[in-house]
Amino acid sequence: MSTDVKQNEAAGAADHGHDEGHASAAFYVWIGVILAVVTGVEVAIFYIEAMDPYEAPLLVVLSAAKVVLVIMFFMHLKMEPRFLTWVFMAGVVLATFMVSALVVLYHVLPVFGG
Amino acid sequence: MSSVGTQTVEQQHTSHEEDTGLWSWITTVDHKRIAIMYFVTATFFFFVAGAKALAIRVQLMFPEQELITPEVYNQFFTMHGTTMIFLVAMPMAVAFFNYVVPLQIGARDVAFPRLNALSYWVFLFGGLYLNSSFIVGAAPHASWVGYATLTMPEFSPGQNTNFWLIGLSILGIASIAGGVNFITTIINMRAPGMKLMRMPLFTWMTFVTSFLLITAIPVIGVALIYLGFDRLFGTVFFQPAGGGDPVLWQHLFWIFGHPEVYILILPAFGVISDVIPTFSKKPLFGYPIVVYAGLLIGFIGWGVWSHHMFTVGLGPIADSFFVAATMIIAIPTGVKIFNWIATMWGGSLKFTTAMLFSVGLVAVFTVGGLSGIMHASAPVNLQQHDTYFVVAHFHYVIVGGAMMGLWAGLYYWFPKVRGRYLSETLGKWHFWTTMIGFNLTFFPMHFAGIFGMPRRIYTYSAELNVDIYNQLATIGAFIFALSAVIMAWNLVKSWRGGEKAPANPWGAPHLEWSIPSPPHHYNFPAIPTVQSREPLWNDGEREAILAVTMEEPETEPVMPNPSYWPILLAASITLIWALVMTGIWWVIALAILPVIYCVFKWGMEPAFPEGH
Repeated sequence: MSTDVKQNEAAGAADHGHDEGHASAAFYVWIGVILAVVTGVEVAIFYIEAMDPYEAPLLVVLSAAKVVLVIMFFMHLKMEPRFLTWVFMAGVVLATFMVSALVVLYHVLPVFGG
Repeated sequence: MSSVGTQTVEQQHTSHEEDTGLWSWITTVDHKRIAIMYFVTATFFFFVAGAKALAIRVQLMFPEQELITPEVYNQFFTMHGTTMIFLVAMPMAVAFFNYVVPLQIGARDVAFPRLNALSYWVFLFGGLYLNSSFIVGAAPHASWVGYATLTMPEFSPGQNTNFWLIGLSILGIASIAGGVNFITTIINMRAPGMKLMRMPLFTWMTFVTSFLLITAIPVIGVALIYLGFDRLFGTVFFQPAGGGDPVLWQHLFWIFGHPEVYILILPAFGVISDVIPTFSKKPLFGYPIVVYAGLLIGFIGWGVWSHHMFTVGLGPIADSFFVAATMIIAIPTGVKIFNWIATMWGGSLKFTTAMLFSVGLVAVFTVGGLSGIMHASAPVNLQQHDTYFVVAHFHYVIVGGAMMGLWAGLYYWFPKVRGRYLSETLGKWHFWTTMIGFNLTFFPMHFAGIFGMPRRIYTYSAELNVDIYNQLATIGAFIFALSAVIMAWNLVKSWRGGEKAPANPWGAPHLEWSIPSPPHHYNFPAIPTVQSREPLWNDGEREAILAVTMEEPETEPVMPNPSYWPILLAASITLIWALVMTGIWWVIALAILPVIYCVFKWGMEPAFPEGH
């Protein structure tokens, strides 16, 4: 077998990926705890009347924070090549576009007569 | 041509014997076996859905017939559409993704082999669950688009719609898992030197389709959950009386539904983008443009959904936007058609069955594209909406486009799968009966629709004067059915008795043709290095690759362990969804336990043999 082929095999083996760059199990448990606490805060905000005026923006911010934590760590994007972040962001942009389009269809266009 | 083109199946199999028993198929995580299972299952459902189509056509052959009741008719057209889309066209494309993509990119399997097996088993159980509704006499009956308020409890009080929404929810899990798997595989597992812009078009279109899968399926997932809550928990997402909005269902459904059209068609575009150059003996004309056109279709496909809703009355500004977007999406599609024709122009054309189906796709899909442009215009759409003109249009797109592309792929890659050719004689019979039967079925529907025949109606008045179009369509449907029988016979006959095929029977340019037919379970003894888009067409590069790919390894590469946890987890997932119908919540809660157990055991099971 040629040297080139051996190098290719090594490249192939690397495809399976191992645990380089990943944090310990305890780290992921802590992320899970933080997510649970933030969820608890979200539920609490819903029931505290004094928070009513700030409820929607607060929930948006807290939800966004949870999303970031999940994609960075549980979806491993922080440890993956930057290209994958762009792949993920393409979906986020698409979702933002679709939700914006529905908001325009339901709440903006009717103001201008459709 | 190198020696790779002359070795037959026996000569290529010298060192390895694979298990072939039932248990080995149940526990397999090999992408090639999973592909075959996908193909066989999708073909089975193709015949199931085709039988319903024949019943529909017999009922409509003459006006005012009462061969089947309106309720059964509703169930048949609903399940014909649902089955053809979710259990035939999509999984048959996934069969090709599974078999071909790892071979085209020089990988030994997909990124997540066990997840791949889970996708298949979830698809199978979801399909069986959906069709089991016929056994209990409660098949879905509100059409494949399931419009609110037809799906609300007061209009669909039994379990019919529950079967539909739960069945589609189960199938969505398979689609999303598959999409994640192929995106990861294509990004991470390409052979050295295979840059994105060197990937075969089929792999490119798999990539775009997979992205559409993981983004579009969650939208219908959300819609189905809303629908389930409305039906089972008394919420009012789509209930106008409670402040809900049935048009929201239409938005959510078509935000999924139009990308879904491209989920169906892009794999077929990928297939013929590989087939046409091979049988023209020319590289694909304008490769980067065809890639960008595919990406553009995938992107713009998200901005056209409301052209299914022009009759809703969204207003002139919204309608104008969606008319423009729909017209624009015709451009990249037209570019692809131009590039396929330009590829053939001046080429050494060889009209094998695969090539015939590819050229047939270009012709027939163009007809569907043109009728699409017609009702992309909102005022014209108001006349054509919900008529048989639309039925004609989407069958030209989905059968004439997606299915013919997949049949091209079947004849093209079968020799790789089996080491034997499909019979070209039967193949040409398959092609011509398809072309005649298909066009005779669906072309007259344009006229029936223009003359005012509504779709989803179990019979029609003789005064409508559309009898002749319906009679032609019914005759065509039986010829089309004959073509399917010929295809099935060809598959059965050629599987054991087909003429033996060499590793690269068509003289094709991509990596999958550089390995024996059928491939070893590890695909490549060593991973080759790619230097161009058509590696097997370039002297020097071809020899270098074949020296690697045709070598008998001293020790076989280590492949993932088989596993029975995917099938058990899929069964558990299906069970928990099915139990939602009982309404007994503690039973549903208990059913979570087997899911958790299977996930845990899966997680603890070594993916590779000990020591690797």
